[in-house]
Amino acid sequence: MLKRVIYNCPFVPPEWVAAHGLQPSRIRPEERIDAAPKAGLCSYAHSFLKTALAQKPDAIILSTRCDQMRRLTDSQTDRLAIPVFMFNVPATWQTTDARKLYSSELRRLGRFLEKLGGRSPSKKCLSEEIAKWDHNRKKLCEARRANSASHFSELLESFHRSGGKLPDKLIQKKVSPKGVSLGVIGGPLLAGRENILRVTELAGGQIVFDGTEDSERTLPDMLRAEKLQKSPFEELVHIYFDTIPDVFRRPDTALHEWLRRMITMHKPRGLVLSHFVWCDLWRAQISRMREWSGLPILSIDLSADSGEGAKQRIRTRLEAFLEELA
Amino acid sequence: MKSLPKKLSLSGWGTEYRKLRRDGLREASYGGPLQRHLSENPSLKRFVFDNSAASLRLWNLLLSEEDRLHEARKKGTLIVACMKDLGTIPVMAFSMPRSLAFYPDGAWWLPCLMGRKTQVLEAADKLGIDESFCPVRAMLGAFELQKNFPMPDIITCSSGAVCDDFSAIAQRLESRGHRILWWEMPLRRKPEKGEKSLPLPGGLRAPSAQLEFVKKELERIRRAFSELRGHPLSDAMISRGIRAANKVRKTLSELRQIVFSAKECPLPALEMLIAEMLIIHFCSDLGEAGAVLNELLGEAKKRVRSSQCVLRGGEAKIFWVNPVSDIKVMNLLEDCGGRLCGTENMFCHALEIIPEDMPPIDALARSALADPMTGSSAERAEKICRDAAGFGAEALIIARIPGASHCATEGGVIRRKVETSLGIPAIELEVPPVSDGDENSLRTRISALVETVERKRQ
Repeated sequence: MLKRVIYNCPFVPPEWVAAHGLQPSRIRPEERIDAAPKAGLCSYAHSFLKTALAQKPDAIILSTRCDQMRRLTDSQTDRLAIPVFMFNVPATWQTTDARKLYSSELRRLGRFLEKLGGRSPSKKCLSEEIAKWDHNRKKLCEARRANSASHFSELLESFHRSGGKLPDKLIQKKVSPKGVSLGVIGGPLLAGRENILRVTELAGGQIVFDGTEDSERTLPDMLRAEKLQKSPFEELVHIYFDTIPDVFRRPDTALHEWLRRMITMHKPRGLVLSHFVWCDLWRAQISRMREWSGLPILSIDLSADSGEGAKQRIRTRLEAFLEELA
Repeated sequence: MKSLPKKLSLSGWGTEYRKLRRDGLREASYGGPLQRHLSENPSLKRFVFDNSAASLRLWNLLLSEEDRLHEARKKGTLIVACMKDLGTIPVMAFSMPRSLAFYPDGAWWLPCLMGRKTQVLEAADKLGIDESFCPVRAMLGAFELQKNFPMPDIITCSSGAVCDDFSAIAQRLESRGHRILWWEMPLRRKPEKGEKSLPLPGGLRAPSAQLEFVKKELERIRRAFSELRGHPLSDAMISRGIRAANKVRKTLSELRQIVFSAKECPLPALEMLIAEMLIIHFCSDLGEAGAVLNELLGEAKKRVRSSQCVLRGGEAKIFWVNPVSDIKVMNLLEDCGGRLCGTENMFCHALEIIPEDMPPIDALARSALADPMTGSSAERAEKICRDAAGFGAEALIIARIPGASHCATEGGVIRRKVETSLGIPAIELEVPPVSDGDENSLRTRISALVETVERKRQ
């Protein structure tokens, strides 16, 4: 049985973990109402760590994309029985040195995986693994338009959690284009069916694009066959580091360009921006996106531990927003 | 006859100033009575001050910064805004001719000094950066209003291993048309087994590869500065800048040593906090910052020599962690029977001497990598324990900065380490930008800590 490595950062290439002979598993944390985090602590970071530890993996990979996640792990280091790797993803991206730093962090991760019992991947093995994941991602993305956003999100979740296996049924439920068109953008989602996408659809919204953290937005770019053949490692760096638009990058130009493209392409009537309560990176985006997009934006505060009352509140706010747009 | 050390209200400073003048007070160009700052900073009335001429000069340097920056702008001095980085880029900026560094993040003191006269927080609110963010959001408001400092020629900001709130606020600033030169500060990690590593100031070590990376980032900044100034920023110039900065750092280090380890307190906590803050960017004037600290050092030495104390005597010795956005809390500490006995205000690397026996960019990179906020909280806690033990601290206060991403977890790590290693009590306090509304609860908590210390002494 392969050793399982849990992670949540889109900049951690699962192909790299798999090429080392380990099973990558990107998970979404479960809602927890048993242990509320202390004031100021992001409930997502809290829940992710709790969920990951409860699953007793062989290792956990975290990243510096989020300061709360970095510091929470840091504060727990002496108490964790499971090996943890902190991946330093550079925030800047304009220089070759930042790119080299990302490459060197991937190499360091490789050494960590080898210490866990993984093997050093040959060029051929890495190349095949990258191609396999790319192929499966393409298959998955082809099913995007045939599914509702929430169902597609579930497919993605299953794909990532299982270490790249395509779900048996790629079309879960035919999407019928009705309701008020909305774009969703924001941070990570929680596990389970009642996430913000599902609730938006139940409230009468038709999600025309999903830009949350666990969506198509953070999938790596498509492979360039020639480059893959020449240097699979370099191509891996390219499809992740050079192309994923994200909120923590400085400057965050690519994220806004991505959103602009989505708005032009899908013409939503409004945006839903979902973020966890203490997520400064996303909360600071609300007024800025409102400024340039000209679209009404509903900001939804998520909490992983606030129970049914909070869900009702979110539903009511979404319904009111949709009524306004209708 | 010179006055004995004491604390004064702002109105009390009027008489004291006249007395000092009669006694032959010689002042710097930015000197004058403290009350002249009242119209711009009405909240000065909230504070009590040390009565020395040295402290007056310190306050005058701090409160004249805006005027001095405008004056520098008129003279064509290159103004470099150094954001987030606490102490490294300013050394490079001051190494250039006709250039100065200033620290926009320092705007977080505007609400506690100016009260309602400043609208910086309201301006930040309007940009969606509300009170749930770190009070450093005042900086965004200050840029938006363009009233508190001239717009800089270049803005640098470190990113990477920095707090999310600052990074988000700085990004919001850039979205308002202020171009930022972002540079990457990697998360400082422990070297792996067999990995080449190098020593950093403060007794730390970092992998050589990380140091090489930071050197390249600083080279990038050097190129930008050189282009802007139209003159290469040479190694020789930076080396001179490092020597000048080290001179000031040495003075501050001696001042801290004398004040924090004195049997009775020679200088108040409020003035010590401001003196320490000068080291980040030298309050936009490296030469004057050095002169001010020298004078304070002279005053502290004189008071210690003659066994003079600015407080009543016998106060609980408190080590303070994290800077406060309302400096009045330093007065409150002393009102409650405490005295400052060591600090770690998130920039202890800026208090360390920058190596002078290596290429200057290498030296600055080592200094930058020693930033306590780029490493683990456990490493920071170890340093705090060493310093607190060295100064003989009897208790520790961790000031939580509202909304700051590092404050949710680091306090627990530091407290646990201090309690287990030193066996002294520690508390966490949250200090808002204007703390008047919270004064009673802050007073109760600090007083309880002081009482705990007093009980332990018995």
